[in-house]
Amino acid sequence: MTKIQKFIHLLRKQRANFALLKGITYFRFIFLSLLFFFLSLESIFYFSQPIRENLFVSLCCTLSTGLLYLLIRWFINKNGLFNNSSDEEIAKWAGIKLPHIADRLLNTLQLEKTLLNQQKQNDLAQVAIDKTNEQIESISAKQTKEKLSNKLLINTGIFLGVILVLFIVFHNTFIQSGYRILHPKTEFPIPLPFHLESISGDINIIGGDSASIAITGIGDLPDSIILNWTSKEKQRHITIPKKNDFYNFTFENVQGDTRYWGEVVSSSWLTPWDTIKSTVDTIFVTDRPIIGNIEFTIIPPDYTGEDIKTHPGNITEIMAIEGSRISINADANKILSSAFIETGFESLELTVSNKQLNGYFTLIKDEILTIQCMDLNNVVNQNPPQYRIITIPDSPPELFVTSPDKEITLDESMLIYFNMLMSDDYGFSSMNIEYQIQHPSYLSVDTNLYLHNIPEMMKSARTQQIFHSWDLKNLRLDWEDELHFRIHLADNNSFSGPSVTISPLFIARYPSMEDLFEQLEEEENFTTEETEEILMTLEDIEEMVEDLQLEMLKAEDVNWEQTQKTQETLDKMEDVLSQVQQIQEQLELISELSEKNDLVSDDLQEKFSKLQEMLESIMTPELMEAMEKLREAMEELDPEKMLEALEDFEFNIEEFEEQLDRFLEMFEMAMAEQKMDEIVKRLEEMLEEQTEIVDELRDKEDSELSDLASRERRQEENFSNLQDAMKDAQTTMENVSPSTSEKLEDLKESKLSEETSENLTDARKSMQENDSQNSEQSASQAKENLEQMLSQAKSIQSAFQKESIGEMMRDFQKVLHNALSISKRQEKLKKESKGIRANSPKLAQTAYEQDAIRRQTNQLILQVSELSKKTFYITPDLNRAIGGARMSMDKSILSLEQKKTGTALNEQKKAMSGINDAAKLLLSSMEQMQQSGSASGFESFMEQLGEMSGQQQQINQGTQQMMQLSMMAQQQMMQRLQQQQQQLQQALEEMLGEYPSEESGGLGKAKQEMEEVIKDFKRKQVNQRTIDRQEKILSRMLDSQKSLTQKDYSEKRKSDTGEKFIYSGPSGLPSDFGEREILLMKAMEEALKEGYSREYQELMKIYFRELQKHQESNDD
Amino acid sequence: MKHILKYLITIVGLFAVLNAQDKPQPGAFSITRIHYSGGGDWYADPSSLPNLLEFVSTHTNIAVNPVEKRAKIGDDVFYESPYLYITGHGNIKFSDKEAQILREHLMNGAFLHADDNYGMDQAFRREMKKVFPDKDWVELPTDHEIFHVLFEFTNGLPKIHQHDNNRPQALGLFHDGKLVVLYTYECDLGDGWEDANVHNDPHGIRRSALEMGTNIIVTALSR
Repeated sequence: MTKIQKFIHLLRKQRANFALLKGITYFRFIFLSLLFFFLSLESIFYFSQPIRENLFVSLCCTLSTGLLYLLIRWFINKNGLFNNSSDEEIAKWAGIKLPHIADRLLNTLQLEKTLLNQQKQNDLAQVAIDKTNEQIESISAKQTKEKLSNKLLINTGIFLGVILVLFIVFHNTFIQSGYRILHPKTEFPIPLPFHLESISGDINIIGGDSASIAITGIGDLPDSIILNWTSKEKQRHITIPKKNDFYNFTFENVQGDTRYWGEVVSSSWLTPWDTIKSTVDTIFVTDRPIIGNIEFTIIPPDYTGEDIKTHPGNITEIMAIEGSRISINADANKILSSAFIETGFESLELTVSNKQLNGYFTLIKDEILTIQCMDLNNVVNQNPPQYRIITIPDSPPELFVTSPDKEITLDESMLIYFNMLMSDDYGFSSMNIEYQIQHPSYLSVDTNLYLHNIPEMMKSARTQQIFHSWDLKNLRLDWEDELHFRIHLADNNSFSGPSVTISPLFIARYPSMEDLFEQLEEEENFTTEETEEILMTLEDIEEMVEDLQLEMLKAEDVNWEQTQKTQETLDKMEDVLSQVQQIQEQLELISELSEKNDLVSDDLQEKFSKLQEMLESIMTPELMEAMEKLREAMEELDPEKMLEALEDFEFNIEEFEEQLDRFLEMFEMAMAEQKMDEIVKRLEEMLEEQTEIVDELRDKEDSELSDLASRERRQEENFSNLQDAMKDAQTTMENVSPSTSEKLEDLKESKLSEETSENLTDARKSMQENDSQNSEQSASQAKENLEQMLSQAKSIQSAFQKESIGEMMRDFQKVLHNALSISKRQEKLKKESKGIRANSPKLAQTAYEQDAIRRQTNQLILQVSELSKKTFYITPDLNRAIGGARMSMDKSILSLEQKKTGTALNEQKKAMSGINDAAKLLLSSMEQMQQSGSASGFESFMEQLGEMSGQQQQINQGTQQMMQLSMMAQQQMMQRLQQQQQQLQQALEEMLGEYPSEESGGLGKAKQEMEEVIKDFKRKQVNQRTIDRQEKILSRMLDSQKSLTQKDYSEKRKSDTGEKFIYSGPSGLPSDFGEREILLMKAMEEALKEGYSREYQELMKIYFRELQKHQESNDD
Repeated sequence: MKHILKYLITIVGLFAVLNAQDKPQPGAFSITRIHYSGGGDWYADPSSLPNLLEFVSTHTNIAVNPVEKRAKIGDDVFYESPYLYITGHGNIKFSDKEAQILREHLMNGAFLHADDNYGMDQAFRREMKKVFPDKDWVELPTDHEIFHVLFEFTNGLPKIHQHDNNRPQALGLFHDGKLVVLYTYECDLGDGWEDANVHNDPHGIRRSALEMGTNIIVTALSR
């Protein structure tokens, strides 16, 4: 090895050593940093064993790897292996290190290697080499020795210093952490600042109970810990504060097993521990029984007819009808030992079977209900299901009484008609009228209450309308008795008892005869007054018409004033006509009243009917036409037409007035007759009652006479009232028949009357004293006296009628005499006029005589008119006959003036014939009147005709029925019917003989038809034509009954074909079909079914009640 | 002998046929005319109902008793009659008992046709108020079945006779939604049913009346 090589080797060695030193220095730096880092981490984090093992391994690896690396590098560098630290590199480095050598060493080295290789001697090269050798010999080791930099030394020193300080300060920590790292396989417990410990431990509770736990600890306990628990796979936590070194918590309503523990989570990441936990303990829960699948079955009371309902258990409010049976069915989650229902009032046991429970209770009132149960361990259910039971009460029924009115007057029929509406939730059980009879104050009081059942009520119909007629005849009500009654309507509530609705009080009064006649008199007086007023108005109208006529005569035009007057006249006439209508209605009322209570005789009833018809016919079509004509003329403002119309109108007013006069007179006469009827009627009633009392007296014991005493008392009262009525009748009769008036006074003041009064009083007193013998005696005597009084009253009545007839007969005779005289004169004139020529000088004389006869005929007409005011027997036929005769006389005179002798003669014949017919009719009327015994009625004729009509109707029905029989049966029946028809025909002939005026009319034709029918029967050819004929016969007979008042000219009988009208009525039917009341009730029923609350239902009922009342008041 | 036998058989046969024609069929439809009190002519238009019944018989399949029945309210015949007829010109009067009987009969299914012959209006309405105090008259509109059930009356009730020259009205009373009373007013169907020579109405007018009457019967039967 050359010197240079040695030198380089030395340098290499130096360099390698230096590199090693430096490396070690750096490695120390790194390693120590790493070490302390790990130590710090370990001291902070207290790594787990695996981590520590890794750290340890890391450190060891780092150390060993580092050192090995350094050594290997030193070795390589020292030996210049693998081209590391090659001679050239060293030489270069030396050149840098030793500037005085610079690159000489390198060059020399290269020269050496070249020479070596060439194996030649190169002196120059050698010289260079030797020089270089000399140089390098002069170099000391110090010159080439490297030193670590000061900076590095300082840094290293600082570093080590810091390490040292840290080590000193944290020597425990580092020693411990170093110890732990050096023992990587050893587990070292993490040092905790505190321990948590569960004091409560495992707990056993029953489901739903609370459980209190407590956790405490050792060490520096935190202010709060986190309590964790899991239950039913759910984890929850809560922070609980420390209190006196304890952490307490209560679990409420624990249902399932719960594991719990406390823990504290490290709040800093620099702590070696993450969480500190207590031990995990468990709360063991024993389940309580739980009731589920609850179902209620509501069984309403039978009487409601409601369906059974089920109610689900999840709805806690149950509404059921009072009295319902409610059954409960439910399941539990475990086997039960017992179960019961708890209400606020009682406890009801339920039937338990395994896990099921059931039972029932009856609903009486609102309550809160809970269902409780107990398992085999005597554990009860917690929070038992609670239900609110609401009772639906059975409301009382609704009752609306449409008729009768609250106060009514009974009539002869003794019937009260009820029209009632009622509704109820579920139906009815009974409907009765509870009544009490109140007698007049002078009789003893009857305090008994009676019941009358209404059978029409249907128990199951919840809404219904009842029509009931109550016959009071069995109640033996008497005059002036009052029937006080209320309607009791009970529903069908069989649970708590029927609810009863009671109507307001109704009073039905049985009027006394006196009351009835008084009422009748009132109506009649009103009629009379109204008629008189009308007559006065007619006078005014006539005056106005006269004035207008005068004005029209003078005027050329119709001015406004005249139009106004005309209008006023027409308006007044309209008023008159409506007043007449009112009177008609009044008459209708009178007729109804008298008929209902049988107050007057049939004769008088007939008269009322005739008077009604008379009034109807007063408003003639001619009058209406005249008014219309006047109206038209007024509108046209034509004075001529106005004048004509006024004349026409005036004429008709006169007729109208005349008829009204006639009506008034006849009416007053009828009233007078009525007074007489009243006396007789009252006596008849009293006699009837007295006879009953006497009959009953015979059968009664002494102790049972109090009832009869009351009746006798009533008789006394009635007799007293009768005396007043007789006084009244007497006064009325003074103007009509003074003799009748006198007789009435005599009867009133007679001893008989006085005795009767005394007998009645004695009888009553004896009855009150229970003395049957004397009672019978006095009562019988009173009865006899009453019979006598009645007989006398009837004879007074009969005498009055005869007197009226007598008077009428005298009047008729006067008229007849006049008619016969006219007939005689006319006949004489006819004879004298026979053969008279047109140029005869007797013409004038004949005309003069005819005129005289005409004047006499006018008088006859006046007489007939006066007579017609007193009797209905003056028929239109008679007026027609006379009117016809008069017209013929007019024509005869005219013809004579025109010298038409032939025509004049004919007219004279007609006139005579007319007068003769009139005379015959007069005779016939007189005969009828005499036979009927009534001065003013048509009774006998009407009666006969009525009877015959009835018979004909029976024959007609028989004929129709006969057609349905077998041949043999038909034969027999035909014979019988033929006989009946023949008999009827004969009767008709006889009647027509008595009333010849009817021969020419319908009855004559009926007679002819009868003959044809009889022929059909004889020939046994009875068919539809026969039946049609029989119908015609009946129609004619019935028509004839009306023919006496039938007008010749009546629009009502006219049948003009109508013109077509375009429909302008409603487009649909109303929703209630005109059925007002029942629909209101049904609407209420429907509304109540909608399921509204009870309070709202009550409001709805009030609303409908008010609607009902409003409707009733509108109807009134 | 043979000839006599043949003759007898022929006579008997003819008689039987004739009788059969005149005999009403049992169960056949009939109309009962009400004989009421009050004075009005309940028997008016005697040929009306027979003509109507004949028209119904020839224009429908309804078996008809061609003879009208007559009854007072409360009679046996009345109770046997489901179809009642009232007409007249004047006063009508029902007693309280009659009103009740009539009401019950109508509520039990009977039908009443009242035809104003001109003049009975006031009385009829008054008396019907006694029968049904709680019901109002309802005018039947033109779309009611009564105007279309068999014959078409698009303009409602036909006007037969003039009366007061007001438009004709078909007024009804209903019970539980069913027509129980029909009152034809300002119309006079009865006159229209009469024999042609009674009122001498044009053929079209009579025909309308008969057709309307048939409609009324068919409606009543099919309620």
